[in-house]
Amino acid sequence: MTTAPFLAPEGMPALSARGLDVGAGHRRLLGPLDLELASGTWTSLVGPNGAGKSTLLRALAGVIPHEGEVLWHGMARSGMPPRARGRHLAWLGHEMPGAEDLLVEDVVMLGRLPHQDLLSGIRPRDREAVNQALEAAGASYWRKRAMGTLSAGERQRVRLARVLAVNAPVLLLDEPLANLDPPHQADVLALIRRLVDAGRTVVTVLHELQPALSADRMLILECGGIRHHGACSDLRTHRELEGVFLDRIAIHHIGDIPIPMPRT
Amino acid sequence: MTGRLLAGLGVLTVLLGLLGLCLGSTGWIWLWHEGTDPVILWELRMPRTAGAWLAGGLLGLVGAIAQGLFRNPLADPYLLGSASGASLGVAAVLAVGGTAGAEAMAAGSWLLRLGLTGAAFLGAIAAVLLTLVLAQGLAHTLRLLLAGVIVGVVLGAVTSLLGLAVPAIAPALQAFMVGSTGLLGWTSVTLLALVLSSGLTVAILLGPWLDALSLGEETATSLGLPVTLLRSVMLAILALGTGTVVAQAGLIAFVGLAAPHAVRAATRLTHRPLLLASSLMGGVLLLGADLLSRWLLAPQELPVGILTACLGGGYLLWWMQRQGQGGQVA
Repeated sequence: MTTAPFLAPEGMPALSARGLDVGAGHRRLLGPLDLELASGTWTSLVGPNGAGKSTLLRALAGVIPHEGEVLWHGMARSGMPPRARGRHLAWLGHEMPGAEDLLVEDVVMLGRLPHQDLLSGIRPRDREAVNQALEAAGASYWRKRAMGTLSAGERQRVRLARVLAVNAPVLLLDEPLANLDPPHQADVLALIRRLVDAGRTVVTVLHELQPALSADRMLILECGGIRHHGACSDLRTHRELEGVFLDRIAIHHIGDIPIPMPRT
Repeated sequence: MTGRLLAGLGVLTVLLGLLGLCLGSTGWIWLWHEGTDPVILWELRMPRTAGAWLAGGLLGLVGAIAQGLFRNPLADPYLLGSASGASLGVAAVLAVGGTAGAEAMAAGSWLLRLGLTGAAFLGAIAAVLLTLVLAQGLAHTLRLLLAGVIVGVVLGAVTSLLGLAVPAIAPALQAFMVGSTGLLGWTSVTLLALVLSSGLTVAILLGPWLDALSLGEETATSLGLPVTLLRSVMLAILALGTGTVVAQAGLIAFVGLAAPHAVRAATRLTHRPLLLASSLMGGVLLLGADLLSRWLLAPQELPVGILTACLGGGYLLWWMQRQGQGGQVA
């Protein structure tokens, strides 16, 4: 089940990093920083362009080289076998060209690779997971179409389905709402909430601050470092959010709901 | 659709194979006709027909691998200088052997064939590695293409230099450069069959990983795939496949590019059936071209490499035209 409950090891943060540091040549892109993200929570990474949000997500996922140690539910990621890593954490990155010829259901089935042996092939439980992921992402309708024939929004829903098909306890989603229309954005946000309620840990990078504030926790990044880490409902988080955008936005409140607006 | 395509290619293989046994420089003779010399049939037509199909199959396979590996539908197995490297390897072995080498090759010596294949393989892999070093990895397609062109041109020049320095090998080298199925014997067939069957088995086994690689290297890594190992194995098959074909039949153009294209034009496939269908398609294309090369100017023979270059060039032009008109990319 895509939203089957996940029981995390007690007291272990889902993600933790010590001395995490990413550089490109002589330029430092991120860190060094220490971080702990609690299990069963939804954390939003926010910050100005170039603050290091996507880099942090990629370093936590282990898809780019970095310094420092990353632990997933208390286990050192570097010590885990590759396929076990693939099963434990699902990562949604930026749009990559390619896979134009593959059918939608074939792309989503790739999310099951960490669960399959090369010799065993596709099993009924893989098909079941793919069906559920396609259903959850609202992409069942065009499962027999080639990726190259889909619109940007349709492709995004297929990519989300591919991530859901992994059925991982930890999901790192970079711009999961990209190219989606408002109703489908709301569907994805509701889906993330269902996943978190079922014990999954979700970390998202969202440029829109309103949906970012729907998370449980907010990690505000600035110039490759952490400026603030707090609850999304906390007033101090709101002040830091205004500050990181140089007070060009203001967080208003309608009842308990924080509404970010540009300052005129 | 996949089943029908594979079955269609299988039927074509059998039909073209039968044609290949019946068609010779003296014209058409039915197999059951008493006038067919068994020696011509067993020692010439049969290995040539089987060899052409196997070489085409291998080119189709390495073409599909190159396009999957570089995530580019225009990738050609010769793109990274592998063919020039293989040619240089062949030229080097011939030059060391001198006149005796050229004679031994004409006689179909096992040892020389094996030596040529090994040298072609080493040449191909060295050329690919050199291209990768010059391009600083696989990340930048343009740099990779330029590096491939540079390596191809420079190694081609060195090969020509060897041909000039050791005149005895010039005719044999010329035959390699043009690409010919005329000299394929049972030794070549055995080598091609061994490399095709092993390469196809490994590539098909790793097919789903190539599918995942089409989502991007980072996504493939996040799915727990050993991306570096995958690339190394696929490059090894690419170099071994190209090297084996070049050592047996010379530089046969466009089959490696056209075969996966033709399959994709027919249907959408994941890499497992795509690799198999591209191999069958490559076999059918080269065997078809081989038959044409025997028939067009009979009793003279047109080197098959010239024919594939003309036909493949035409196909590529048609494909570019189709793309230019905003049509569906095959």
